[in-house]
Amino acid sequence: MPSLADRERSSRAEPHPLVVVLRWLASLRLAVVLIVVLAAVLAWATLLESAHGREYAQWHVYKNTWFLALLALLGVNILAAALVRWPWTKTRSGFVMTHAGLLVLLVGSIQTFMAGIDGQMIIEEGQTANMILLTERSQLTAMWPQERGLPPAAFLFNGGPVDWPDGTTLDMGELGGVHVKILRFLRHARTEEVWLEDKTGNGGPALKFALVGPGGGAAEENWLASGPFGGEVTIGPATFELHRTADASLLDDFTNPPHPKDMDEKGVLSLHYDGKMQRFPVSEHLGKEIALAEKGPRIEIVEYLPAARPGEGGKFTSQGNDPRNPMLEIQLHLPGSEQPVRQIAFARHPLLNLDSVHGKASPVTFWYHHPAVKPQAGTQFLQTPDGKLYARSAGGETYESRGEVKSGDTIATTAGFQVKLIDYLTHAAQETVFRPVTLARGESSGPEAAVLVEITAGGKSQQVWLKRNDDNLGFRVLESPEGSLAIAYSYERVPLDFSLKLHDFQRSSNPGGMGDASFASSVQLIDKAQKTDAKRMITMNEPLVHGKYTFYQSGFHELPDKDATVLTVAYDPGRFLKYLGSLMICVGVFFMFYTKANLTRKLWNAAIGRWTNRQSKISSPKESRRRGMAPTDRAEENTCVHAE
Amino acid sequence: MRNLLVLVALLVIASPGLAESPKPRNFDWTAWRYLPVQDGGRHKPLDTLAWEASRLLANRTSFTAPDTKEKLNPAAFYLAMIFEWPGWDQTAGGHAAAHGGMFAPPVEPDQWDKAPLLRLDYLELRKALGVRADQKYLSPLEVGKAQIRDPLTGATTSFVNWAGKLAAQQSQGLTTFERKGLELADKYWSYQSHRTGKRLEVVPLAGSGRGEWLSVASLMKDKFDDANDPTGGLRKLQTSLQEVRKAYLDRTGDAFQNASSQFLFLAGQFGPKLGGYPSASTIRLEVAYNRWAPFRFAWIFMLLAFVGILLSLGTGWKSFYVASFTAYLAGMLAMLVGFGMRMVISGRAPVTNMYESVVYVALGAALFGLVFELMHRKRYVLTAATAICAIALILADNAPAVLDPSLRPLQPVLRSNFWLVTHVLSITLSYAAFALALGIANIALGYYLVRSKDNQAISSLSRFTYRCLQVGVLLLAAGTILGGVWADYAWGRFWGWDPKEVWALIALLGYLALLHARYVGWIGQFGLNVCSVICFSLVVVAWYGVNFVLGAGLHSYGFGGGGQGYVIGALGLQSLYLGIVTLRAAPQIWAERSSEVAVSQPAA
Repeated sequence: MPSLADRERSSRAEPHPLVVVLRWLASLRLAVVLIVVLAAVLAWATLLESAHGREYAQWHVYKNTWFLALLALLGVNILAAALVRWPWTKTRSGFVMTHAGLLVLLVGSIQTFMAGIDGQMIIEEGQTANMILLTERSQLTAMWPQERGLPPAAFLFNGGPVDWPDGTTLDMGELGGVHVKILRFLRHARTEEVWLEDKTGNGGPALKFALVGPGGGAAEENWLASGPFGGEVTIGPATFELHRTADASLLDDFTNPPHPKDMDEKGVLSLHYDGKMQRFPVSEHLGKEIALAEKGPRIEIVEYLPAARPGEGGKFTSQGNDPRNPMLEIQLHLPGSEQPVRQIAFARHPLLNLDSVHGKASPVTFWYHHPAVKPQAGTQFLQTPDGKLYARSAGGETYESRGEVKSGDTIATTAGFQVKLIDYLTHAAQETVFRPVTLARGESSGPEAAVLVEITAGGKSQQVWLKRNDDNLGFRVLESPEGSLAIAYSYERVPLDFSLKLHDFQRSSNPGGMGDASFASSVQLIDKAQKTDAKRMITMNEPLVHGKYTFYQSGFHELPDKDATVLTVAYDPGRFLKYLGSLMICVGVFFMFYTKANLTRKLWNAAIGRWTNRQSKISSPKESRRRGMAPTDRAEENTCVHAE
Repeated sequence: MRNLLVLVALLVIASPGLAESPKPRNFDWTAWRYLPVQDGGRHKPLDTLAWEASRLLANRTSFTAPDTKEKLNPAAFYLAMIFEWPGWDQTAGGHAAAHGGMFAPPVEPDQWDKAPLLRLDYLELRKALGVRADQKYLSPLEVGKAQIRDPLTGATTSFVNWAGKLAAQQSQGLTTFERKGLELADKYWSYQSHRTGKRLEVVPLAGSGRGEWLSVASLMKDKFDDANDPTGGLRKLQTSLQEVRKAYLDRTGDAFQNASSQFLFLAGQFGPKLGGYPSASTIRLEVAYNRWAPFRFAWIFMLLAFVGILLSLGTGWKSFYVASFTAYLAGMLAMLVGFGMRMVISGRAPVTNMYESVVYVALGAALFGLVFELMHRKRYVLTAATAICAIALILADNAPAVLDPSLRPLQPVLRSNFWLVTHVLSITLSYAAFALALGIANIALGYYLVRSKDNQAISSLSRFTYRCLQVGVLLLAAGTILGGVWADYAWGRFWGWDPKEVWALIALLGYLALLHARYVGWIGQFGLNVCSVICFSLVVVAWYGVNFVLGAGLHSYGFGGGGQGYVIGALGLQSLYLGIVTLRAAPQIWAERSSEVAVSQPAA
């Protein structure tokens, strides 16, 4: 049983709970608290932006749900404050208009946030474009071949402003028979080509080495990989070559090349056939046939070119007799074949011999040694058929063998430098790895984002790295039991029902070429539906409006032979309400502050009073302090009286 | 040693005047100040170029000639430096080759190279360069030879090379030390290019699509023939310039005057035929602007008005009030004239950099002060307004390193835009209103400090504070919204949470919280004044902090550096004052408030 006192209290004026809530929501106290909280949050957000960049602040504050909720609460507070003052008297018109204006502005902002488009269009001179890129939003798209008749499955995905910590994954669910799961996200990713052990055993050798200076300074690591016939890397003046051979006898040639003293001016041609090496001085055998074995292939050295230069139709000619680039034209007669095979042998660049250029193994391997070709600075490696690796370095007139080398070995090379062999793979396959990039403080842009996604289609799961909006790495085709599936990671795209062609991008500079004074894009607007095909200009302060879109000149890219314009494309459905709300706020504040004050009359009185009332120059306001401001002030300050 | 002998011989042959005892340079340089030149993407009189160069290099406006100890004005200093450059007399391949190097002095250093010209304010850099801690000025020669010990690596290298490397990687963030080092190196490089006539561009280059001009360096050294100078005008100009120099070195006043007039006449005749050339009236106006410095007059008047109003308050004499009011109006007039001149010279509204906004705030505060003073004739308002104006204008006139007064071309996005002008004008005007509120509030707090019983004055002052806040809030709200309109117009978005926008909003929210809290009755007169002082710090961040400290966002065209120490110092002083006042006034305020609550309790 409630006591008498209790009953009396409740019957007296216990308002409905909803009214209590409404009053609380409408209270000025809540307004002050919310305003202060909002200001503090915003200040913190600008500090975040200064430290971590715009994207970070947008993600964690401005476009985050809790921030929008805070704004919504403020909106509710404003709405409630206006509602509890119903009915509105004339004196409250300023108050009502200001607060209604704020609400209209908020509604307009929500419209923009929900349905607005703020994107980019990049058009090269002479090209036509009809796609808007929404650079703040991205998507993963899975596409089946056209004959399956399925629409592309688009997974809207925004990874955020920072790399995901290891172990964070996001299941995007299934769409159109494709299941997508994000395994890793790097906000800024760089790619690196690395060589890994090739399990199939088909790949050529690869080795990782570092060049260490005489002082032992830090060195950059390099990969040296061989295709079927070799590869090379140049670091400063030094060249590093990796050769690969099927003839075991080549090792002799490699470790003990003929000494220049033992050669005449046309050099020596080494021939490797059937595991054996045979050397022939060129001057003695020029124009003659050499039989390598009984019933085996025959060789004819057709021509000696001391300074070979490529001419028309694959023919080489010699530019003088100075042995700058000695080369031999060779005919190889294989048993059982009428037609001889053409071969060439360079003394300076054995990797360019025709057997390697054509990628066809010849039963005979040629190695041409010439006394004028000095050993090149650096180290050369040779992989023999048994998978072992040998090295030699330039030493004076000829090469000095370094014998067999293994991972971890240090090999002396030219001029006191050393090659540290870090890794050696007998069979290697190249792979692109994605690594995170950390931006320096104050840097606002870095490389594009990348994701590792797990795609499951037709019961088969595959993992693939994709780089956003990248011409090469942003798009992969996967084989699944249900056919090939293309998957892309790109910005969200919005197609336009018209197109723009960039005729010309113009820049004008200040006098003397100091900085840009203006940018302009001359475009052709083509809209078939509206039968528009007209030339238009877009300049810095003169946007192009077509349909619901507005195109602004925002920047440009300088390409080697032409320019590309960067246009900002915007569609803002909330614009009208935002402008209306803004106008209401300004007018409302003005009325709230100045209707009773009656500025003009005051000014007039003051001007008149100056002449009529010279004695009392300093008027004395009535002394009536009570709880803050004097009542006269209060009436003057506020035309509306809040119910407190 | 041999080099030196050759140099002396060369100097003796080329300029007999220098070998003897130094003769004064008592020439009339006036006509030279009107020579139209091109510099920094703008056409301007040589006068402005010389002012800007001397401000950049030495941060001063008068120089002492090293030999004769004469005082030289910037234009005289600038031309003397060029005319006396020994490099003009040396044939290519002589000493220039001996020194080589891009940044090394190309010729034997002369008296100007040895003169302390380049200002260095950063103490740590002085230390790292091994100069005395109290040595404010370094000679270009000293800078060129200086070795620097990098505080990070500890390695010692040539300062100029070190800075050159920094300049190449400037886009990445630099430490304060590096930035200051680069500033000094910039002064050194500027000195070299000014000295050698490369920055003094005097006539348009015929047929240059980018509107380039020909520098004095080219005019002195280049060979012209019928191919590159079909009319022969450049050759005439060249001969004439050499005559001017000869007369200068001979110190023959009449000859110098005649040769100068001829050169200036030729340049004025020939220039417009070659390309875009400024009109004589604009040039005259700019020289007059430099000469009369209207904003300097403005602060002198405002300071006088401030003293006058203080005397009037102290003595109660009406004549002081009248005099103060007159000085106040004169100060306003000077500001208006200054703005008018800047607008005509630059062809745009004068609110595009920090300097102009500070001066504009002074004008706005003066304007509001005038209106309120006319309305209420309270004298406090005038006191506050004169103080605010004087402070703002003195700052603007005396801190060119932070508030750069030179006129520069605008970024493309800022050109020809109605919304930009209205947006910036109303925001800056709101800052003016808040600044005036700050001034008035500080005076009101002074009454609390002395525990004054003059409640009439306090409530009157508080009313003005409140009025100013209202004006400020209306203008800031309108200005922020207009900023949205402009952003929509220029970038296609109304609001993008850019730090400058956000801080304008934060300042607005701060003042709104203040107005609402006053309305609820959470704060009284004392609180109103205290809070309006506190809230002004939000304006300081929005106005200065975002551009100079935060350094992020789209409003980067207004970015600058420097002055942090002063701003923090001012904030500290203000906080100290606020703290003392609060300590003094708190017991009384607290007692009054509790008695009010006690009184109002039964009614509730």
